[in-house]
Amino acid sequence: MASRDENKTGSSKNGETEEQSKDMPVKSKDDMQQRLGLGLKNMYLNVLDEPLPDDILALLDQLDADDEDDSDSARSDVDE
Amino acid sequence: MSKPQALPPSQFKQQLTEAIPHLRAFGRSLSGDRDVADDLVQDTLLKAWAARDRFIAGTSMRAWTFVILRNTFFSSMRRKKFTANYDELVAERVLSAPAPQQEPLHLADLQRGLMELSDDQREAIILVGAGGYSYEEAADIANCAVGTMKSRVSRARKTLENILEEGRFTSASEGHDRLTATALQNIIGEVEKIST
Repeated sequence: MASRDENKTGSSKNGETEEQSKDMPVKSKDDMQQRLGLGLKNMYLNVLDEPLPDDILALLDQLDADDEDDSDSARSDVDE
Repeated sequence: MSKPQALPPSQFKQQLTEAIPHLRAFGRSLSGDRDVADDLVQDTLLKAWAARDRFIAGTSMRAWTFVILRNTFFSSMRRKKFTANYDELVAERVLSAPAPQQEPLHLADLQRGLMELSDDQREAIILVGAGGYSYEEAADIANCAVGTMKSRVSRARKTLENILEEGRFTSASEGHDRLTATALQNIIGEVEKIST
């Protein structure tokens, strides 16, 4: 086994160890999966960092006033 | 058997508010569109508030509202209210630092790639890969078996990898000429119906 520093989180834990003899494909595959994972997390975190839009804040303020609201569609989606 | 305890309205609202950024992130990843996602979130907030007596204190507000949001999204998809798309506003945003001698991963490409996945696979990889949920939690939200969730995530990863490596996008991720005016009008109408 040659240098494996870049594969610490890679395919060995997925039971694909034998296939790692093909150096380049595995390296690039692991690297792609790492970039993919990082990209997905960043995509999600970017949204978390955004301020809430005014219309959502306004809706939150209205919730207390709409205490009597009890629609059928709300119930069905919660139940599904 | 004792009745599950509901939260007082003020505490419910506080927890609901804390879940909103996550709902927006989940909704945007699922729909690929900022406006559609925010309408989904508003829809979800109204439904959650209307059903707040059914939320059990001590359980996860985020997971509970994710279920509402995904049910709303998928039932609307079935009725063609929402159309999957990706957000052009973020087309140039770079998501991850490039590895040596590699192109950076662009958010636009990732979002287009996500839109190429089946709804089930997209939801799975968002929950586990982006949202950081365990397979068990994600399976609860998606109402499927843990094994099914693992399989969906695995297939989604492979498919995304292939798509991004080969740039193999199809019309499934090209929604610009479809969306949003009609869909948004429908959503707004639905929300108004709920809130009156």
